[in-house]
Amino acid sequence: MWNRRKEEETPRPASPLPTPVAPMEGMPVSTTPTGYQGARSTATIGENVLIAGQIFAKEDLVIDGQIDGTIELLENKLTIGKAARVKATIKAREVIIHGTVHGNVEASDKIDLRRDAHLVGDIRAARIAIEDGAIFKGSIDVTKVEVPKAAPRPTTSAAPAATPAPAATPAHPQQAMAAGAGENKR
Amino acid sequence: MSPSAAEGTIRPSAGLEQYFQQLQGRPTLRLLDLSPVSQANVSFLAGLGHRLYCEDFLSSLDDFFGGDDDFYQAQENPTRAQEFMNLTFRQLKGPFHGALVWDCLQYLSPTMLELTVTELHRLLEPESALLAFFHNDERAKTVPASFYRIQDYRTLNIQERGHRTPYQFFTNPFIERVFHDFSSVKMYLTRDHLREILIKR
Repeated sequence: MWNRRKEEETPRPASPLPTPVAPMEGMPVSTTPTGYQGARSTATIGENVLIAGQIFAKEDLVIDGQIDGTIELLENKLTIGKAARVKATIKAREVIIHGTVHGNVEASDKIDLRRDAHLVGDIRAARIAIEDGAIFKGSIDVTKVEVPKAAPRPTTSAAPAATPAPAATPAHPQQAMAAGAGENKR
Repeated sequence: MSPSAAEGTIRPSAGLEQYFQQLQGRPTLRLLDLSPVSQANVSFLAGLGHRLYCEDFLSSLDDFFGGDDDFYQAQENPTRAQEFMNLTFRQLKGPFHGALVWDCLQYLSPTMLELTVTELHRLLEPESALLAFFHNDERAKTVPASFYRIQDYRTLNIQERGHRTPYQFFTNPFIERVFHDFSSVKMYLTRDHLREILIKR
């Protein structure tokens, strides 16, 4: 009896409870990869995650948390969730925005502003889709964007920066723009 | 006019036609659109190769001054009015070759109207065009505020976004006085109590 009770009181090994990530700059922040089955995986940055710095990814990324810095997914799709609050310069193949973004957004393929989107910044993409209800303030440049091939980087989905990047830096000049896309067709 | 309840009213617009005629032959223009961003306007204007700057002026006005009874009174506070101007216009990367102001100017107090027109004059290049709408019904206490979606060079889709009380009625001489710094003002009457005004900078 005594022994049994003692056994019951023995603390069990702690289960891996989700712990909120402290907003510490330069600290690695793990993401939750999903969709292992498919050829293209998607990483998710959860609602309780705050990242200050640079994010480079070579897989699709869904952001529901708070980001302050730069985001580059040159060959992949970025989805900004409804709860997300992003203050960043964004470059990606495709960007879908449901949440709040402050910063310039550039996509080599498409930018999709959904009805809950709130975007303040300049956008540039080959195609732009806007749902009624989306709030947008900034300039729109529909042009063919040639995004340079991503340089070899670690295969982790979200690589923290050694030093935090400024909140919204201007677009990199090496983003080559296709000329002749802006002619009056009349 | 062909009304269709959910999708708005599609009608020809002489003002819009003249606006595009004035901009004709000038490639890759920078245009300012003071209505909420819409797929129709972005597709049409970007399709012509123009760069568009969107600013939902009316919503910004409501957010800043509140949409209640004190709306116009709050606009008359010179400090607040200037603050709004700085927030709304000072960050715009002008100059612009054209502005689509739609019906926004009707909901401004005299102080705000003067400041806004001055800012538009500053932001627009010489020879550029500005399109503004004013309701024509002098007796109406409230007028429909609308979304204006460009269908083609001479056609608009007008979708109501509620009724609002304008600060004042804009007569033709008054409109000319408001835009006295601009080089010309042309007016086009429509059947739906909306005067379309094309102003040349």
